[in-house]
Amino acid sequence: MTDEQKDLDRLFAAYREACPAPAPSPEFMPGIWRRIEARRRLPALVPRWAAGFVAAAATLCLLMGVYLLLPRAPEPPVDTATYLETLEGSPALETMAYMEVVSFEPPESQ
Amino acid sequence: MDGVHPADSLVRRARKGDDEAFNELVQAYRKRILGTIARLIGRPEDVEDVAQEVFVRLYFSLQQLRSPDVFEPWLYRLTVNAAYDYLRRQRRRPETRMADLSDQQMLLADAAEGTRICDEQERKGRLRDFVRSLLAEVSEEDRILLTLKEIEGLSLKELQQIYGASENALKVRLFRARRRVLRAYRRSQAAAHNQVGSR
Repeated sequence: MTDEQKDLDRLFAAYREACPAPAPSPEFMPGIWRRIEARRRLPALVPRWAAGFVAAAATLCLLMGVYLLLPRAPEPPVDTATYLETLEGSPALETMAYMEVVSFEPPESQ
Repeated sequence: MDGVHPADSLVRRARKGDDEAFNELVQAYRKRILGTIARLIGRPEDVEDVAQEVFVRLYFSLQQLRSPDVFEPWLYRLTVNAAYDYLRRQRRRPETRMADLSDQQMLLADAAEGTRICDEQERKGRLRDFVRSLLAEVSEEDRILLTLKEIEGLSLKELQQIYGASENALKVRLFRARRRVLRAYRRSQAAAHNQVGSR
């Protein structure tokens, strides 16, 4: 072991001496028990929060079910005609316009 | 830490939920744990807080303890973990330390506290700062390991139990950490010689 290493060992020993264990305060033990109680309470709170959440979700589901079951005004009938049927049923404007030109033009006097 | 320990019966009782036994266990170990934490974290104002955290973790983990024989390494492992968590938190929260203050600010702080630092305390304070500056050359993990070995005086076998690592792996880490600290020590010695020579 070199002199420097011995110096380092001495330094570490002196450091240990210079850093003695601090005396615990009177609040040391009560503080530990307060923390333990706080952490014990936390897992106890989780099922309570979960139960509250389940109750709220069940109520919401019930309300939505009631809303869906309520009688409402009848909806207008759905048009089931196909696209072609609809086209046939509607007046053909472009044809009419063409016819109009043809039918209303006064014939040339012969 | 070898052989049958008088704390064994306390550990057994505490594991069964005997709060009185747990209190006795804390009282038996608190001084040692406070000292170890003081040397690991280097902040007297937070030592008690970290030590309380260690014992709270102990309370909730006693059931996981395989056997009372390994109680002390278990407690040291909890101490190392709590100290490491603290140091990590401190890294994220930089704050002004006394070492960062100017001389004038230091004097004002002392005056405000109404304290007069005696020579012995001053010498110890300088020594603490010096050793901490040397230990700052290695990572937090290695600093903790080196402190447990070199300052707390734990054996390699005890460190093996605490870290759950092989003796060789620990030896290598300790050797490298010590070498870096030694280099820092040499640099500081050289700087001190240069200062004396220039005067």
